[in-house]
Amino acid sequence: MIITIARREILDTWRGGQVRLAGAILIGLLLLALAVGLQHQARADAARKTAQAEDTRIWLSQGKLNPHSAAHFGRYIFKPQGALAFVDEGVNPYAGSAVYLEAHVQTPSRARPADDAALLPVFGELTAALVLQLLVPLLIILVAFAGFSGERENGTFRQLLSVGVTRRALVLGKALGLSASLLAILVPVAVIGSAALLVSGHGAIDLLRLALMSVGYLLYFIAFAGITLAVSARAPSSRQALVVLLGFWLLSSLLLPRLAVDAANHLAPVPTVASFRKVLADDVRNGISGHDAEDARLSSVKAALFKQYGVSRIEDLPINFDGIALSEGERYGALVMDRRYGELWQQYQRQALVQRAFALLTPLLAVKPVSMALAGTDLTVQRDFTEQAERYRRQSIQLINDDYTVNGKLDQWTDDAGGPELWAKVPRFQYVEPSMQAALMPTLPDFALLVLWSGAALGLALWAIRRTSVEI
Amino acid sequence: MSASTHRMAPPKTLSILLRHERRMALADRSLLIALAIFAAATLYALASGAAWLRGREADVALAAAQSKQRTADFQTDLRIYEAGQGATLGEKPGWYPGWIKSPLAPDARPGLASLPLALMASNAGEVQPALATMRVATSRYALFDDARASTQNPATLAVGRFDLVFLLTAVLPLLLLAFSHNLLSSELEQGTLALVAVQPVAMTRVVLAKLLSRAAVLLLPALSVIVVGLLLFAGVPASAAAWRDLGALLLMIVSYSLFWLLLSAWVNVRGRSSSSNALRLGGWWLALVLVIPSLLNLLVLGLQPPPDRAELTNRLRATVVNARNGGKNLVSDFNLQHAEQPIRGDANGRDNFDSPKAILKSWLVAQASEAAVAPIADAFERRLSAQQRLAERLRFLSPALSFQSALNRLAGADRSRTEQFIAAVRDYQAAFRGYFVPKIEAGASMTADDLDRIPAFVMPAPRRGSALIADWLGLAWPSVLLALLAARGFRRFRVGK
Repeated sequence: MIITIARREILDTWRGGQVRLAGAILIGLLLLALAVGLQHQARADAARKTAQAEDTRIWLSQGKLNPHSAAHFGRYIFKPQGALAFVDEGVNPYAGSAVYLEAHVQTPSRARPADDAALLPVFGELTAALVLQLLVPLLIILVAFAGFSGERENGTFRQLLSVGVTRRALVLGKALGLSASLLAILVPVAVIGSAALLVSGHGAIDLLRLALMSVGYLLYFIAFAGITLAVSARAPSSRQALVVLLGFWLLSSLLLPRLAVDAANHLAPVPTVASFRKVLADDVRNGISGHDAEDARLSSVKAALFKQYGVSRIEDLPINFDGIALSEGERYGALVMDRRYGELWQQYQRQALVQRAFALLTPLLAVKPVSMALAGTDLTVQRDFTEQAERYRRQSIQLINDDYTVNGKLDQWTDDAGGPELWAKVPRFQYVEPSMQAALMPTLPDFALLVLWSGAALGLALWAIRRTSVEI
Repeated sequence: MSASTHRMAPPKTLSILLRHERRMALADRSLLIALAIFAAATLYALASGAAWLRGREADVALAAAQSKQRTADFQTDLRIYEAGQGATLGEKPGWYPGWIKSPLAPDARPGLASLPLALMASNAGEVQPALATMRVATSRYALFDDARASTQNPATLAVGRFDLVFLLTAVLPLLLLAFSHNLLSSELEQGTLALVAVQPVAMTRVVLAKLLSRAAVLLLPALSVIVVGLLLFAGVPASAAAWRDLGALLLMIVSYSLFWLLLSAWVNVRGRSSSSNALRLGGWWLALVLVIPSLLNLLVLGLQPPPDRAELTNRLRATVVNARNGGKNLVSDFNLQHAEQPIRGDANGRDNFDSPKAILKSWLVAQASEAAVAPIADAFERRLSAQQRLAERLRFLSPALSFQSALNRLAGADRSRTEQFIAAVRDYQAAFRGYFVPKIEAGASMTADDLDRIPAFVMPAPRRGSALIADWLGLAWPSVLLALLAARGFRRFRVGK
């Protein structure tokens, strides 16, 4: 019975010219987005590898130079795109794609792709995620808004019930039919996506990511399908069902996500870049507590060294005190950076929580984090990347400062104190992407919200159809 | 009925029809609710934009104040030094005696001056460099590197703020379509259009009158709220230019609204049902606001791929290393050319970083690497602006893009304002260097008084007249086309089936 209903639904859907056109456009957009995304990702990854190798070459090509000047010249670390960035570019357009590592400070990541974008479309770039998150729900609404109200208006609802079709079977059949229509669009896309993944040298893990992502989107679509069927069952007419559903789409896709951003900015404000830099500089100079000023810290280090070596002037120390002072600066700087960047990330996390709270009102804000996390383009990866880069910065600078402590001359700062042998001692940076488990853990609540949405929406549909009347 | 009263009749009938139309509109509770929501959203968008703008302006002011403070600190130390008390400065962290005398040390933080309507466009403004970081030796291609590092949350930026540009570009059309999609179809469905058709008034005038009265009912409140909101959050325009901007903004909003209303009229004269009209207009909205701009974006990226900033960064750095590796030669070449006054290490023969010779070397290295990278960096920037120009041309294909472009321009958040800022900062850098470089090349130190005479940065007023007209044309041509199509469709329009 359910199968028969589903089959009729599919036939009905397929006969509708508008739906067919919309479906065709949607598949076209989806495939285009995937193709462009794949090409973009391949180009970006190749460019990143070249750039990273070039940075190493430049670093090693430095001739005689004061090690501290070399530390200020610093390094650049370039961020990979993320495994499935071609499906969902996530935070990438607005996240710094490079981290500049220099002496003394951790700088915020820079070179956001959006800074160089010529066009900033209101809804962002055309990606598969955009199509899946915004357009597919519209198609669902278009296919199913008249699901029950139409039967009622045509008088076929009474007929169906009179020949013994149960309401429950009707809901399930219609839901099944709707799912089949959707799968007809999504399965080819998923297959093409997986094939592209394998061809472009991605591994089984990425296929698993893609599979989990598909589950996430399926739950998202089920949520929309359930809501659509429920509204269709309860609305007095198909027209009103359409108005309500489009209103819901508008709210959930257009308005609430941006209101969530504003709420997040309001509830968990993030410092602007100049004020943030000032806080870092003030902390380093005056001490985090305000009672631990830079010169006092240095004096105590000096006193300890005098005691250790039994001298009373820095000139008499067997080591270069300038190197010690630099190391001390880095040691204290690390405390400041850990604290202030920790606060910054905490604010980002609070903002994510505010957005998650809004996910109770719109399923879009539940599927977004899941999709980004599985694509490897969310904040978790951004944070992991910047933190690995920062650890590498501290390691490299420490190595350079230690060398200067041993080999440099006090108060000289001359350019012959460092050279290619020292540059070669600095290890290479190798970014290790977080494991899938680590990447997914933070987004489990969002997954749970998606399950909740889809379950609640299906429940709503069942409830609505039980209570719907046969008459118009 | 005399001839004269017959001539009188049409306007009278028309005014009755219009009054009826207005009464119907005002009696429609949903219209009032929608307008109230729109008003609340407008005020909210402006309040949130104002908060964002305060943050950016505070950032610019903070950077300027810090730079000023640093100069003042230099001056204080230099006065101590000039009074022969230099030895007391030696232990102060970060303030080495040689560094405070160095012409390389003073910095400037030229900032972008906001335009009166900047609060409208926090999304576009967010990706605009608003601050430069400059010392004499800073490469002209690296002036905005600090501005390109951001502390803002990329996850929220990727969603976008609820700014006025978004509200007016994406949401205002929906309001207009919602209350005009049944311009004719509702009366067709109710059968009242036939009654109107028998009145002694030309149907064209009736339709036009209906369209204009819908426009008035929707737009007058919407525009009033926008004006009130701007007066509230941006303040009363303080100059003739600010009033002109406000006027231009209202003109753009009216033109954009007219486009959507004409679209609605065109769809209506096909004589389909209200729900069919609604579906079609929704499809048009989706295509024009969401799909086409994103597709055009793809087209821009395909035709003019963005140049690789990572590659530019590497090229810049590679030339620095090259120039630095040849730094000694640069100094000896310089001294050969200036044999009358060669620059040497400092008095005790040392050659450390704050000696005149080291300072000269730093400057010569900076100059040489800047010259070496200029062809590549200029080519990079040419590619960026070529991409920009292509995008500007493509905006004519979507009224939504033209409108967005006009609003960003009026807010001073568009690329041409950014380019103007970059050019102004570079001009300023030339003046800044013009002040310090002669001292470097003479091996001279800064005096406390020298620091009083550092040139100041002035941000020029925006130049955008013709670009705004082009934006407006991007809105106007589809409207004219739609008006023609609607008029043609109307001639075939039949009130009865």
